[in-house]
Amino acid sequence: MTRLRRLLTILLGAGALLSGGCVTGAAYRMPAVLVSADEDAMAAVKAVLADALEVGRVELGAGDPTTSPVIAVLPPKLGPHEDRSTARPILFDIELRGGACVAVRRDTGEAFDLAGVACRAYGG
Amino acid sequence: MKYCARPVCVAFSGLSSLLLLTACGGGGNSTTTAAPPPPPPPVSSGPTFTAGVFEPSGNFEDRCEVVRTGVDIEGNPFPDRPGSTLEENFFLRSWTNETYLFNTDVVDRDPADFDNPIDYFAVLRTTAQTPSGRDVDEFHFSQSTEDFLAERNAAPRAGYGARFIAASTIPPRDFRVAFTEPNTPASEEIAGQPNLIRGSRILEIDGLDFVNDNTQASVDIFNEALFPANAGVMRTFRVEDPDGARRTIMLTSADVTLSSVDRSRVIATPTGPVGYLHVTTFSPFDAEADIANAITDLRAAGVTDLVLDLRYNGGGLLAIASQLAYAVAGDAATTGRVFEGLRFNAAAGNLNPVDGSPNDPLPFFDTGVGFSLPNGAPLASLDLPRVFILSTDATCSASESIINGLRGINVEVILIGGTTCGKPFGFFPESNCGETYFTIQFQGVNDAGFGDYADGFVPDDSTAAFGVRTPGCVVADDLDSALGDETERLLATALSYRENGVCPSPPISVAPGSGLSGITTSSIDIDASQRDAHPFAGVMETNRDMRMPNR
Repeated sequence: MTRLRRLLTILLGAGALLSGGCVTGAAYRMPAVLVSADEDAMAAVKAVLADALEVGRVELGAGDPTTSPVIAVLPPKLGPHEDRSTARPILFDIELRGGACVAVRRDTGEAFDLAGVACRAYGG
Repeated sequence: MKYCARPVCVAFSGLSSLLLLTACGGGGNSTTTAAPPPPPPPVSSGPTFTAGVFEPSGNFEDRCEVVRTGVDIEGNPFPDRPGSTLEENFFLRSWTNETYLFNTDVVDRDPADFDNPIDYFAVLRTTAQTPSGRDVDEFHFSQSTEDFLAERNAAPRAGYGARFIAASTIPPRDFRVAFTEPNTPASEEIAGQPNLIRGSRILEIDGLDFVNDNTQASVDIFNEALFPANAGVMRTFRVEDPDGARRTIMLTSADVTLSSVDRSRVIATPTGPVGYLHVTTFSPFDAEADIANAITDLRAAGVTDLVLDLRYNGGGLLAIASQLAYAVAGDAATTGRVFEGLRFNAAAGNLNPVDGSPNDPLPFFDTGVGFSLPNGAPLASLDLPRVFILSTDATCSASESIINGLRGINVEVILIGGTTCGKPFGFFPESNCGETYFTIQFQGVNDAGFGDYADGFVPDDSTAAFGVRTPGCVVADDLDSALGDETERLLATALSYRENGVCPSPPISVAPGSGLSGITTSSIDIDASQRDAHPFAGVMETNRDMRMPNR
């Protein structure tokens, strides 16, 4: 499933690049926010991000994805013996790419299609 | 629990992505899209030992004598594949060689000589000692992965919201309240009297003599009462307060979420307002917002000094400790500086050997990072050239990082209390075949490259022969006054030092007749089995482990 979503994302991007010869990179990729953060939308987002991180489920950190183009995925909670942990949330930037809404993992650049989730341009 | 970045398969940045996609789909160099290899045939003889020669730990990872099936409590499938105890041992040997900070100190023993991975793991450590004679590695242990996952997913836990200090867990037992969490059964007021206050000593539980009764049935009741398994269970306690008053109270256990900021206040002094901030842990994600909000309030009050009470803070998340250090020192002192670098073993080079990522040091974070504050949200700061830190031997690990991190950028740290625990080390818990292993993998070092404080930070007037001497005063924690009260001994000493620039002489004493002086965390008598299981565990942080021994 994860690979399929990646493939869709790649194809969307490739289509935009190959068919719209005058589309610049800047115009093609734009920061975005979710149209809604209702239960269904967030369940869909969390499912994609769980696949992206190859874990069973994820919890999201602070931030409103309808106003901020960043989603933070919390690390696992600390156990009682973890007294010096380097854990930090993993950040995903929400982007519109050729009309598709994707989450881009900031530390690796990997892009994941937020299938079924509506986005709009950030600040737009 | 390794929380590492996977190899990048798709970097979606243009046409090159198509090439990468082809590579992925074609089974090229990528590891993320290749079909998972079929399980290997059963191993008949297993790997063989050649001293000093180590195969990659990945060759043995998840090759288990007993294969688990299904998913764990976090919903992740067990990764186990058929293997053997020998392969589990070979995994530990290679993993230790790759990631253990003191890997060159480990005697290379034949894994075949051990028929239990836990026994083998126990010898995969250094035997070096600190200048004071302590083992450098006091932090080497394992637990079942089932327990590890259950513990980290257990919050909130049933309890009363009181943190106890045990001066003795055997008769005559001496359990006293170190502090209570706000908005919990322990701090609830009945007719204006909080159920428990700092220093309250437990005398009876459900009519039984808690101090002296040593029958097995009573000990079982005491454990059930002090460490309730469920919310909603009512118990009767008879307690003695620091002023000698005895009271009978009813406490009903509740699901208690650990809070980070216990209390914060502003103390008016002739030389300006002083902030007091008691931070009990850096572990819960809410700590990020709670500490930031407290600092915002202190800044608004215009405090000119800060007393940071870390006496019961056993550490937690370095990023949040870094934010607090930033909040103390501010932009000018911290911009471009390192809060904590991670020093791995020499073979790791510039990489984190645990996950292969670049070994980037932690900066002083001046914004939220996304735990409970939005990523990028600016943090308030106090911009102070010095800070008073209240400490005991329960001040540990990430708490010590604050001391070390600030000293590394020449912020003056004045230590009031006791020697800190001395844990400059960290680890990434590693699970393999149902056991989760903890081994020292890095040493935290500050902007000046210093991290050698395995004997703790020591107030400068201490007679201790070892430890990193730090300006300040030795003072015993007394439990006589409420935390944040200007008469509480550590805080009073800090305020006196602030006024006079020297430790008070004679030292500030407890109120006459209290009879509670001398209770320090170093005198805690923890059940030996717990000490062995988690030798470094801060008592205050893990008071649920502070079980009384059976007869």
